[in-house]
Amino acid sequence: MRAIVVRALGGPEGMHLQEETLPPPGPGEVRVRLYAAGVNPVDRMTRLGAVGQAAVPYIPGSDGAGEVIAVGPGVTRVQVGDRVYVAGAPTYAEETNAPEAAVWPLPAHLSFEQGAAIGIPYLTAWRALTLSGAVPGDWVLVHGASGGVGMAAVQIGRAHGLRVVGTASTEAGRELVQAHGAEAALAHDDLEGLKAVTSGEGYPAILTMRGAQTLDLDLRLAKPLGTIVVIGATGPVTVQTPDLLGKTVSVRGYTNRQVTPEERVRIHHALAGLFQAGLARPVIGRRYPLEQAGEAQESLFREPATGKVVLTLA
Amino acid sequence: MHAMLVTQPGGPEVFAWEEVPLDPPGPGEVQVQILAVGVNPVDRRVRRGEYPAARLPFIPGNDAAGVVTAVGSGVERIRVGDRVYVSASHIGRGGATYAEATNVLEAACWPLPDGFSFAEGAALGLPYTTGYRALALSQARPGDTILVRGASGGVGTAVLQWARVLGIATVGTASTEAGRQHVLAQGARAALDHRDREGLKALAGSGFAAVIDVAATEHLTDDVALTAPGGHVVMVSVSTPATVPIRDIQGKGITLVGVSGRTWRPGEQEQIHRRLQPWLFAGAIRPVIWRRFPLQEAGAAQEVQAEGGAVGKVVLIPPAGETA
Repeated sequence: MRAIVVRALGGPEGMHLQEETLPPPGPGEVRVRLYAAGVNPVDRMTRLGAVGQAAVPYIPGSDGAGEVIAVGPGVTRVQVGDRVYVAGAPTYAEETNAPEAAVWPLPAHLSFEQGAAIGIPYLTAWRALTLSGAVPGDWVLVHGASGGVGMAAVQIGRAHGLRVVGTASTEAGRELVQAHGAEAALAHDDLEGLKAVTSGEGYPAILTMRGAQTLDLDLRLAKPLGTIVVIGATGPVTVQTPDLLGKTVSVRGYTNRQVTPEERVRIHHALAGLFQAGLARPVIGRRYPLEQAGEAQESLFREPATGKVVLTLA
Repeated sequence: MHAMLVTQPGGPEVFAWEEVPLDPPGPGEVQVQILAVGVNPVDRRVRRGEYPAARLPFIPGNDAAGVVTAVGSGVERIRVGDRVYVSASHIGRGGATYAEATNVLEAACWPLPDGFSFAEGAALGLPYTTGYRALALSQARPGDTILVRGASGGVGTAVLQWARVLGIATVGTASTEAGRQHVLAQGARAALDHRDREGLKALAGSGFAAVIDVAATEHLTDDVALTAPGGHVVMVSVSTPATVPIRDIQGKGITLVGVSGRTWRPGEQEQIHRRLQPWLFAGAIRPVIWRRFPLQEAGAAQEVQAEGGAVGKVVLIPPAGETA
């Protein structure tokens, strides 16, 4: 089978499309023929050596979707022929051996591309919204709402009775955000507009993918005792302390590394209900063939988002 | 009675010692003859006009201790003659405690054990409610070890004492040798200078469960570096501007919380006083007094507190308190 292999940490030139052979699925493993793979910011950060300690060579990715073609001993939840999404196994490849806990049924009305858009974005959005402490009726501001995590947060938030406001840098992005249930969609830096949405009351919860760029603004927009969940950030950033201290706001760093395996399983069970009901529906933005995986990763940090970036493996 | 009035926003000279009338206590109110007054950093900022101004002139102060001289209708818990401490920040309309007497809501009035001086009682209100809240926001649990930066002042001392009774181990920093001795005497496992980065790193091991920083926002980057992944950094101090290490906060899953006295929830302070009372009566929590000033020297006392280097609490003593 063909796979992308990272041979050297660093730029996209360290990624190579090559022929690989997989061993048969071991105990508790599921062999999936992948038709799509999700491209997440962490894939690029891992390749750069900026997060985790990846040992080269390795096949990148964590999210994908396809069909079960073999199961190892002890696998009970899925069988050959099942349509599934994968969340937590190498996926920049035509096939993968995934632990059973990383394989989940893909509802019939979702495409493989949509399945590949579930793993990290929906887990992150679910967990970040939980950490934000938002309760039904609360205003929630989602920065970068038109990207993979952002769209998931808009949908999950709305499904839980939150009043979601999203930001996106392009008109197309903002239209998408509103079409998926946000009460308003504005530009990232529209302080007055964002204030006006809540009639000056402020946001009890804010999710940001660009912590360094938005923190100063977010401290102004947060309601007293509110929580800003920082999902992504470069940094450091200088802010005026009274904004930091004056409202007892929590700035809460978020990393998927701190989600326990038990929590992951519970979140996937909970997501199933949302997908079945149509309250959550992954939106696909740009598609790239497997050989352009490097380009796909770089585009996440360069181009405005209108949904999820995926690799197609058909 | 006499009181220290803030006549206009400004320096210590804006205080005036004047005769002012005091009404009988209204419904739900308690009248207290004040025998000691607690000085808090916020008092100085209010005097300087850094907060939305009260109507001038006004009597500042939230904390005090003394004896109950009268109670209004509907007061149930407190009786005339009781020794009490007053903690009136955000309970009712404030304390107006820089005075010889005041009327406060019953919820701001709590029994003071016999073995406590009035000065000690005056040191309880804001430091021990703020200290408890900082500890609660830190999410530190029994068995954890936390770092308390700026541990020798009123709030720092309160955090150390709360932590000790709750089973949370502490490491404290203070800028003077006397401060570090004081920190050790409050039960901290170790006491270091703020600048001793290597020493702090060695004590942190894989990271403190939380850092409570009462000292200054300038240490924020170090605080985050010293905190274990998933831990909390609680800032109690005010200085500008602050550099926030947002990438490290995200990467380690740290939660940074700034504590403000403007965001008390209704009833939150009363709950903390109800928690505090058993520890006071058991003698397990007792404030430490650093400096006493006559009430008429309130301005000078505030400036001394603002200079830093405190080893415990600054209190003011009204004339009647000298002999109490």
